[in-house]
Amino acid sequence: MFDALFSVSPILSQIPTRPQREGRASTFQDEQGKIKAIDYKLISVPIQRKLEDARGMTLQEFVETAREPGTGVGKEMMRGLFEMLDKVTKETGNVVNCGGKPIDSTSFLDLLDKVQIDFTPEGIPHWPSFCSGSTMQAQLQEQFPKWLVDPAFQTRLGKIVERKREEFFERETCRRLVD
Amino acid sequence: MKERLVEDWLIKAGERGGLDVAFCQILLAKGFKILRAGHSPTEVGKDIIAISPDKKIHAYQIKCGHIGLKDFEAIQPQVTNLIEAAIIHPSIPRGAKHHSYLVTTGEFKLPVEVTVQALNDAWNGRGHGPLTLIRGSELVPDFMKLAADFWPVDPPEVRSFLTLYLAEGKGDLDHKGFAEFLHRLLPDKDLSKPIVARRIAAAGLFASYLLESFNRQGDNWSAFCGWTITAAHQAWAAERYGLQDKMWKHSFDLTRGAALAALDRLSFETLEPHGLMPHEPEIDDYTRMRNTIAFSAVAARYLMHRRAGTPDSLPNAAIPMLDQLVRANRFWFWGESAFPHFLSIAWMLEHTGKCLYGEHVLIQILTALTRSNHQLSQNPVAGPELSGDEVLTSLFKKLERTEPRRGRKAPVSYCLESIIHLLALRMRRQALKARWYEITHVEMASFQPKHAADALLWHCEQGEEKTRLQGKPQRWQTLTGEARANDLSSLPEILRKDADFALMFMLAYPHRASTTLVKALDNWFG
Repeated sequence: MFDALFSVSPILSQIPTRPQREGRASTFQDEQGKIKAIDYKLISVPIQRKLEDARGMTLQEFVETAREPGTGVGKEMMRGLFEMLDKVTKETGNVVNCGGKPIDSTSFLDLLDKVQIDFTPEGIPHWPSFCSGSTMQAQLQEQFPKWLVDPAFQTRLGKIVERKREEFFERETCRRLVD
Repeated sequence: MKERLVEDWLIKAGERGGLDVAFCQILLAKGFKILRAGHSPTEVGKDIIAISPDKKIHAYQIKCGHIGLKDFEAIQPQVTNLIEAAIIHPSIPRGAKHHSYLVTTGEFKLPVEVTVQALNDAWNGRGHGPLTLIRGSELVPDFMKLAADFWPVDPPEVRSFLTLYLAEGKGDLDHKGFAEFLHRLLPDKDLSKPIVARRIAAAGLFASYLLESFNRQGDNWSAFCGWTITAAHQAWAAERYGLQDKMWKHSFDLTRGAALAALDRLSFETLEPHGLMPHEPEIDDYTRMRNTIAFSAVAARYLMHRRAGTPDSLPNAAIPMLDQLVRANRFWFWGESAFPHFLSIAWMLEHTGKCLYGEHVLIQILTALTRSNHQLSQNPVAGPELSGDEVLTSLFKKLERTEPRRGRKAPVSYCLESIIHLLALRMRRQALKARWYEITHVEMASFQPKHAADALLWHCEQGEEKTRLQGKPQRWQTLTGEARANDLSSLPEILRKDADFALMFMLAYPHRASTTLVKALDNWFG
């Protein structure tokens, strides 16, 4: 079931999770120090099986019965995740709108500019992963190699990375015990 | 079935931690006041001393099994002491007459009865009261009556009760199942106070039944955990229903005493020559886990005696043995459920002139947690809800097969905040400063039950789980201020009032070792 759940999207297996064993409420502290409550949502996936008289399932069919609710829960989790992201990004104004046109290099760099990027201690960026629809994915696969050889794109990308690196080291410098 | 089970238990029950505790519960149910219960070199033939509702004094010697003439002759000096030696107790006037009883789980053979009749005539001639014999079969109706309405009835409950009763008694105590049984016996419903008081007494009796196999097999650690869980549930019921002390405290004290007796037995066993020697081939992690648990029992008893002003009660072997075990790295931090054991050991080290060793233990755990439980780690140390046995089992399972896909883990630590505060209280600023970067990458988790008393339950339905991060940057002065503050109101009443029980509770309930409890214990024992 879990295998099916995580096969719905690679994003799901990238989200750190742990079970809450006791109590029904939970709060956490974000990187900015704010305390936030977790709004748990119940996910249920109805499944139906049509059984025939004097006939059981094959082993493959039987295994699939466990995959189906897993896939259903995974899809529901992804739907909830996008709804939540949509709400949060609208609230914070963290939106890059392409106006219905294909994504261009400016919009892509605007997008990169709006996300937090972490670095190794040597200053090498941990590049973020992006999730896109199949149309945009095709566009990016076609356009991205062209952007990479564009000097203007490289200059702006370099500036963004440099600023993000400075922000990262500033953040990391704060991780200390002071007088 | 119930009567047959009680008879079966009586056949198996030992005199210590078995019949003695259960028999006291019967006396309490009959309105007796227990003045003393326990086995010690100063008992002078009297395991239990009690006063009946009509103010008469009664003394009991507890034995197990059938008693034939040879057995009786072997215990005759104790019986003579029981009859002839006066009771010395602050609540009893000197020279007061008492009634004497010899109690056994089995039967007395005919020659014994004849001998006792003859001895009674002789004792009577010397002005002493007679010896009354009480057989196991005479006790069955009393045991049945005390718990009459509280036996599990539904088939699943009966099955889980029998599973607990039929445990082999060698490390197979199902803590969660045992606590669930107790919570069914002491539920969160609208019960009347007298009923709750009866149920609290019955809990002690049922615990005697369910823990007998552990007593018999000498698994003192499981017996200790079982009795402590029972006492915690009794205290929970008393706090939840607002009972007056007289309605529950005697039953609780008996249970607590049984837990302490098991801890004592484990402590003395550990300190015997070759006490930590494996009995059969086993992996070293298991041996080091047993060393850790066994020596934490020694440390706990040392700390309790020290607080009571009698630190010399522990054999001299304890301190050099601890030194040797620490130097040879013979303890194992298998996961966060090991933290209470290491804490007891660290406190003992601090009190025996090894302050730096004690603090070093805390720093080592801190380093292990920051290394393994940071936000990006995919191999965090096990949480406090997993026992050492469960951690070892999971290690073996990992060898057998690859784990199914479960996504990324979100590691947290339940004991990191406690360790940081303890080190801050010990002014280990440099040690913390050197590790602060790593510390800020670990999420510190805690669970606060909605009602403080619910922390005494093994599993709590209502409450809030919190994860927090340390300050970035963190001011030292603020940190020490937070470390010094401790609001005890979030602890159950019994843990605020009874320091020794709080220490026992932390050892038996590692998932309840909250920062508040740890700092309270540090204040009492550290």
